[in-house]
Amino acid sequence: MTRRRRTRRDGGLLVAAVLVGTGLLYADAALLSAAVIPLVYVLYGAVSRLPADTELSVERSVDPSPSPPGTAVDVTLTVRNDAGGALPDVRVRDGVPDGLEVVSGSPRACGSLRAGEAVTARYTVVAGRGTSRFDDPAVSLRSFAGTAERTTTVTSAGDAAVYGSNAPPKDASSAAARASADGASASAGGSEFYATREYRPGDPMSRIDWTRVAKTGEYVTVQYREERPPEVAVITDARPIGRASVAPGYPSAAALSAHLGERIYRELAASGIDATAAAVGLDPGSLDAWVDAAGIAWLEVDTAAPGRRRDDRSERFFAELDGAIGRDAQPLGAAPEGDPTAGVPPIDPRTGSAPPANASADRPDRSAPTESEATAASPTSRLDGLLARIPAEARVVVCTPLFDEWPVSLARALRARGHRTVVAAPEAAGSRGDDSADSPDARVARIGRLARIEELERSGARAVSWDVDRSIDRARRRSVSLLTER
Amino acid sequence: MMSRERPDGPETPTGAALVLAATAPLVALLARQVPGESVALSIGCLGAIGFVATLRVIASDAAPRPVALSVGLAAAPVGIALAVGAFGAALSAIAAAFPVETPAGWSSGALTVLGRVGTVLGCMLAALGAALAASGPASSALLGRYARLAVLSSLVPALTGAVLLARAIVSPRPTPGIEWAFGLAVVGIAVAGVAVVLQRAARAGGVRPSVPVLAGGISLAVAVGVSDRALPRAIRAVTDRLPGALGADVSAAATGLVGVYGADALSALLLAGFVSATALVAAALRGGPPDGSALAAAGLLLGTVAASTVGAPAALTFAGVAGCLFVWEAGAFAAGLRDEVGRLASTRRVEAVHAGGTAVAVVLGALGAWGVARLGARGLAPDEPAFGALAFVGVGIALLILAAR
Repeated sequence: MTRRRRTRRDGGLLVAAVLVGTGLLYADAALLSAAVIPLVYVLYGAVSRLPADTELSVERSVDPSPSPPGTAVDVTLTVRNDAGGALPDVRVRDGVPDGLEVVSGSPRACGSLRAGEAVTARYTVVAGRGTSRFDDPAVSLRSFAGTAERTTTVTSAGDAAVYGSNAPPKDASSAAARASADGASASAGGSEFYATREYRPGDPMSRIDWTRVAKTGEYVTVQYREERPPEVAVITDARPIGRASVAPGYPSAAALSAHLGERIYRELAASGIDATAAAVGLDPGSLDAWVDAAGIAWLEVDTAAPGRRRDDRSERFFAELDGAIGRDAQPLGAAPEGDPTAGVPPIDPRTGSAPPANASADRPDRSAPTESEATAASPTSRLDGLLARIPAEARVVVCTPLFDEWPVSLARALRARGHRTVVAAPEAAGSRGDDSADSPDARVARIGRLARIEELERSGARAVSWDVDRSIDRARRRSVSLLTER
Repeated sequence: MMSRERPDGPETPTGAALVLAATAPLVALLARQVPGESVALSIGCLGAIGFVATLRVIASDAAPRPVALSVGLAAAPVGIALAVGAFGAALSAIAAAFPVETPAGWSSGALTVLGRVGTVLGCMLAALGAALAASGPASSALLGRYARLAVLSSLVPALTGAVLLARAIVSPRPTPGIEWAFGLAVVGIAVAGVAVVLQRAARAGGVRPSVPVLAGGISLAVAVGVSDRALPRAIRAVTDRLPGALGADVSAAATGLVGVYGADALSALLLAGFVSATALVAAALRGGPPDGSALAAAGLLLGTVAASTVGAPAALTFAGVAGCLFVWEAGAFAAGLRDEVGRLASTRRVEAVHAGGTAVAVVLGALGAWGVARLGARGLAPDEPAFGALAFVGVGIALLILAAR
């Protein structure tokens, strides 16, 4: 708590001195008498005190809670005068969590409150990932004259944080859970006929084809197809070109892609499906513990680790990825810092493969290698590294804002290698209900995105669009369903 | 902790309304005390408001070129209005106070002129402050940009005037066509050279010198166009107000100047002076308080004290001082509140409560002053009322210092 006392002595005495001096100079009784006015004014400030009883209650509400990252969250902070008398000047400022930007309204308010009256601050923030805790609101009280001041922080009742919804899905009826359950029952013994082979000692008696024994006298063991749940690779496009948002305060498209990738990964992992996560387009120095020689961050399946430890690893991976993408999104249409293709391999759209290493060096716009290129492996090795580490039978989901052609080319390359490919794309330039959604840059981004989705469909990949104004769960479920359906 | 940033833009609407509501009637009442200077005072107040309006134009997000052009063009009328307000009031006051019959009358006449001019200047300052309170504080950067534009606008008139003056001195019998061609050539070369230098110097500041220089040229063309008629009228308006022989002398000297140097040269130099004067006002304000309410309060105090010295009633003196303190307090409170809770929060009720308390305090103070004046006049020292009032004030200050410690 801080107490402060503002004095009006200097100003009041200055006015009094001017009046007395001029009054003496001109022998003017009115001017001399008028000096009483500033003296009374100063006296008023000197005797003005804060009320003895200054009991306040503060309550905060957050709506909706929990909140999917990227959604607008309405915060209401109410300060009520629970004291017996009036408080002439109450000023409050809510402790907005670091990293959350106020996009409308104000977290500050003031009021002159009679007993039982309240003043309310209403504002809107954009939810981030994870839990963002509020600081206690600062409340400042002043006397009638405004000269006595006391500032203190008050613990608020009600909501204490904005919970960015990262909880794994609880619906057991999810597509991944069903697929995993199917796979698990099949692997336990299989149900679909696959082949026969000569009996070997130790084969279960129930698997011997007794009909054949009766007919031919040969002992043959029936084999059933052993089904495993599909392996999935979740690739997040974190390139600088995606680190743009439609409006200040909103997460970048790359951050939304990472969030969608995390949700898909968690649902797959929770359903017992072996999922590998990868992130491309990282700045040098980001996710050092996860990055391979090709500059791509990997979260490999660790089947030996217990489930809890695996969850901790994935939590850490995605948290670091979120931090690497950063919160400082540029406006949509602004040129990204540095080379938009930095950190990612170029892909030949015709062949769906990486061009020769010297081909990229011949391109005029890449004649001067960026820092990331200078320090990391060559583009070709990066693409090779990406494609080589995706298991041969794995299905792949690419989470990307589709701001350029690179994801389309990647999907083509994956399709060419026989991977079932799903591209999950947040609609970062979608409707926000304000002018920002109708800006030329937002419109251009939307048109380009639609064209790329059509290209993806033509290439055999499946596209899932996530309108970020709507729930992420629909996009997540659709992606997982496309990945796991037979 | 509460933030203390000082954003641009107007003070809180309630604070601005309170400052305006207190300043406007007091300025009107003070103006009634100097009826002879009412025209000058009105023009001067309009000039002050126009000056603030041009500051707002600069602060707006409009395109730089139209802004520079409009400010450059407005600088001349604003400067003329401010000059008419200040010097016109002085002229009227001098005309009213002089000539005097006895040597002793000179001092009282001078004090009267001082009081009247002080009243007008106080009202102009109060108008300037109130306009700033309503439109937003003038930051140092904003005033600097205005001063730069005004100086650039005065270049063409100043150079043209200087060249014409030089030609008149060198060639007492000029041939109009040749002299004009010569003058324009010299001015053109000089302006181009200065513009190139300034362009390089000011490019970092985002100011394009060519536009205000062009505005100065347009103003000069207008001034030269009307100089043949306007200058003699202005000289006559001044000399007619000067007392007796002084007026005749000044009239003869001014007519001689026009005859020697030409109306065009003098008009150009006067225009450069008026425009430069606005730059000086901006430069002077850079060192003053940024909030309009403080300027308005200072203006009210100056006007009230000055009006009191020329015979304003005691009630107006008390009202003026009370209003000065009220405006100061309301503006300072509004500025602090704006800094602390921002522009989006509603501050009306808090400000209204605070203003109510302040109003009660200053009204009580005014009643106290009235009581002191009455008591001093009738009770303690009937022969020396000022002495009684002074005694009260002395006791009050002593008590105040004791209380403050």
